Amino acid sequence: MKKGKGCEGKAPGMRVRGHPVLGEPPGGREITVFLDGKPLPAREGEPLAAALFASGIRVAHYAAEGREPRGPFCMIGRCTECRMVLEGKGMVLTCLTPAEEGMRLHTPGRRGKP
Amino acid sequence: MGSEVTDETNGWQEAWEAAENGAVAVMDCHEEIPCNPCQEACPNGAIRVEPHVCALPRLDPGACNGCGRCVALCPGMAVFLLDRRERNGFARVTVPYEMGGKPVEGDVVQVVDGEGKALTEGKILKVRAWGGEAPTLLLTVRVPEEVALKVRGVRYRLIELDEGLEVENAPPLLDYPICRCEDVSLQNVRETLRSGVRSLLTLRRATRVGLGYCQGLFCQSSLREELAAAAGREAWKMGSFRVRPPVRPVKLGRLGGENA
Repeated sequence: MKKGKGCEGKAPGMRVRGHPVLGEPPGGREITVFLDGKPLPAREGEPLAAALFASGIRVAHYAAEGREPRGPFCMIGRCTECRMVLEGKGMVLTCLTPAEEGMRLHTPGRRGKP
Repeated sequence: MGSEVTDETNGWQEAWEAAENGAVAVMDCHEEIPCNPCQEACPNGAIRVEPHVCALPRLDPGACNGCGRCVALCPGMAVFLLDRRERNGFARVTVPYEMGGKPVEGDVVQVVDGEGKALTEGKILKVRAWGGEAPTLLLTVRVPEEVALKVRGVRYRLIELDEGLEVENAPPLLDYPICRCEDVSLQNVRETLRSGVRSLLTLRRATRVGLGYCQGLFCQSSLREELAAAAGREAWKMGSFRVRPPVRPVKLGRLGGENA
C-alpha cells in the first residue's frame, strides 16, 4: 500500500467559489486554527477538514497498527477517517466540525508518539 | 427515456427535419443538473443551456454542423447525431462509445436503446476518436429510419459479461484495512476466522474490529459477509454487534447538559 504519496504540497483553490447550486462558501471571516502547534488559516464555520484540504494537508491521523497516513474520505461523518484530536473536545470528525478561532488540532498516531 | 419524435422540449421534431440535409445533434438530456459541457463544446454556439446552468440544453438545428463534439464531450452520453441524407429509409446515427473492444469500420454490431435492449443490427460506417489516452469513440451506424431516434448505443462485446461476477472473482486485497479505526486487515480477520471464530462478538474480542472510534459503524457489514462466508451461512443470520445508542461518539458532559 502506498505510504503518504501525494499527501504533501499545496492544493490551491480547493475552496469552490460560486458553486452553481450551493453558491458561495459559508462563513467567511478569516481565522487561525492551530495544527500540531502551527498556525493554519481557515474560514470561520467551514469544516476543519476543508481548512486542512485548502492548505494541502491530506493526513488527518496515522493508522493504529501500521501507522499509515489516513485522511478524510467520505466527508459526511461516516467513515471516521478524518478523525483528529481537538483540544478540549477529544477525538472529533473534522469533516463535521466547524472551524472556530483558535482551535487547536492534533494529528493522532504519528510514529514515535501514541 | 422518452424517444418520441414529438419531444418538443428538446426540439427533436426540428432536428428530425434538419437531419434530411446531413448530420445534426439530438439532445436526449432530461437531467436538470448543473452541467453544461455541451454548450462549451459547440463551436457554433448552437447549444444553449439557459437561463441557468441547471436548465436543459436547447439546440438550434439550423446552427448545428453535425461535428459531433458535443456527442463526445457530454459526460452523460446524452447526445447523438442523426443523419437522414440517404433518404431511402435508412438513417445514420452517431453514438458515443467508451466500452472495451476495438470497433472498426465495416463491423456489424447490435444497436441498443437507452435501456440496453437490442433494436436491430447495424453496420459501422465510421469510427472517430475524441480525446487523448482513453478517447471517446464516435461510432456512426446505419439503421432503419424508424428506430433511428431510439438508438442510444451499440453493443460491441459479443459475450455479455456479468459485472457482478467480475467483481466477485477479483482477488481480494488482503492488506486492505477492513476495520479502519483499529487498523485490522482483511488477512488478519480471515486468519482469525480460520482459527474457528464464528460470531461477530468473538471476532471483535479477538481482533479489536468494531471497537474503534466508529464502533463498528463502517466495518460491520463487511465483517458479517466475511463471517458468513467462513461459516457457510447467510449473512443476515450472523447477528450484529450490540447496538447501543448514540450512534456517534458523544462526550459524557454533553449528556449531562453541557453545551457544545
